[in-house]
Amino acid sequence: MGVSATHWQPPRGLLLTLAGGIVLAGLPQLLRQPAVLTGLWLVLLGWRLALAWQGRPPPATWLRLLLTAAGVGLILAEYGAFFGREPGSALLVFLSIMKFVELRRPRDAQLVIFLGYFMLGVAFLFSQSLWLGAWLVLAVWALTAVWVALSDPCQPAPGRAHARLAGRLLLGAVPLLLVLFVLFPRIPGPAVEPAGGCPQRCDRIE
Amino acid sequence: MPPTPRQPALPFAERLLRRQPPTLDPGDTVELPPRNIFILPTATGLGFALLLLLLLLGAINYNNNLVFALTFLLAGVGVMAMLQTWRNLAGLRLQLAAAAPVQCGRPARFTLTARADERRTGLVLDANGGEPVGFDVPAAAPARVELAVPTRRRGWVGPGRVRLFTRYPLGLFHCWTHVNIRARTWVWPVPAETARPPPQGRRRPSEDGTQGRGQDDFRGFRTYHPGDSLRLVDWKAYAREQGLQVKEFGGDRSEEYWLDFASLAEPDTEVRLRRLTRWVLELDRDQQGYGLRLPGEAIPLGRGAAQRERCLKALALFEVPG
Repeated sequence: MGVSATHWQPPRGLLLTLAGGIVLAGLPQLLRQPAVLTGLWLVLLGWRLALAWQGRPPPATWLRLLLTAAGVGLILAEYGAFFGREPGSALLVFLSIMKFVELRRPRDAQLVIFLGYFMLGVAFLFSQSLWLGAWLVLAVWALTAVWVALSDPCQPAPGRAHARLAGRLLLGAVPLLLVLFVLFPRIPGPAVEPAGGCPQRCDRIE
Repeated sequence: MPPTPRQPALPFAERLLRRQPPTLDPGDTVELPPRNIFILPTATGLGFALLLLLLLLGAINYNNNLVFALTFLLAGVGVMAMLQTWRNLAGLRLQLAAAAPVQCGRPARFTLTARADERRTGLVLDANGGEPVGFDVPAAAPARVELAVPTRRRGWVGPGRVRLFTRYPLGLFHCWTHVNIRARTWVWPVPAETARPPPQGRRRPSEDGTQGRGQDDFRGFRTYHPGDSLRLVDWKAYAREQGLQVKEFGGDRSEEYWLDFASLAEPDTEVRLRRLTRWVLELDRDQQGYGLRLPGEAIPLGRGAAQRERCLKALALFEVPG
């Protein structure tokens, strides 16, 4: 494994809360997709946590590429295509866990948080129930708390203060949310056929 | 006190807005003025904006109300983060303590005290050339920040204009301000590396003409003669390869040394100053009396901490302007 001495070892508390955040964000898709994909996802998550607990660096690039290729192949085999909401969402959730496995710089953690927000957005394409909305608030709060902790140069382990500040930021965001939600113009009907966007976007993020 | 020379130019934004940073004198307290606090998005901030744009396009494309809600909620979080980052710096009060003089090559340590009414997190103080120092300010309790300024030559040294910045809480925005710190302290030369005994001391003539001898008052060194007590040998000097020296104790008399810049053989001024510095430090350590003659300045005989400081300061600032 090429890098050993220089790699950034994320603090355990941060890693654990980040794992919690992406589980929350990915849960709708994890419950919906074929069990084999979810199983692979959970194994990868547990593997990365185990590596961190033993103080070992993230897996080498060739191994990650191999795993990514295997996972993408599995998605292709399950859905028969990349295009469309279902395989696109599965791909996004899978690539997010691969980013989590990679995690060797604070910027990677940042990207995982952004992917988490994006996963939540994609989850609403399948359902717009009120329960999912409540779930969204919880997941956004968790992801934001990890984000606050990540930006704190003095104490990288997330604590109550970070969660409280994240809550304050979310509460402060509500007025703007309401104003924009009411005033933003809506165009009736889909502008582009739903077959499009997601896979290309996922590629660009990865 | 004149400002420290060689200030780098202010960043573009500050020159554009014609803002001069506030100045902080020793003992003063300055509250960071809001007009001098600047804020710009970071690379992470631009990435976040891209994420919002993607979510917004998705929301418009699928006409999905909850994706709209998520997008606007995150946009609000970004705006709140900008406000919070700015509030992390605004209204912070800084106080400056004077720094102690220091030997060249060692960092000069200036202590700043930061106070705030509510907690500030993730602040970083960055002086020219020094290591950036990160610190938090607890609510209603002062935080002490030690700024280590590297010293490269003798003379005056000061932090000059320092930068205080923060990216907390989300790293989306970089918020900074500058403060002119007008404290300075002096830096004495590095002592010469090789040992050499100071020029022969002169015994202070006693009033009755006798050579007082005793056990109490340390008077100086003389070379070892067979028969001297081994307890009186200065083993430290022996370890420095200065030969066997014996400590002499006298009654009320001691030796005095005149350290004279003009009597040194070395042609280079700095080399002479380093030699004199070494003698001052050694004589002070041995509790001897000494005086210092520099061109245009003479420090009369004396001893102790005050004499040491006076001589080192003269050596530090010899032919240094301002």
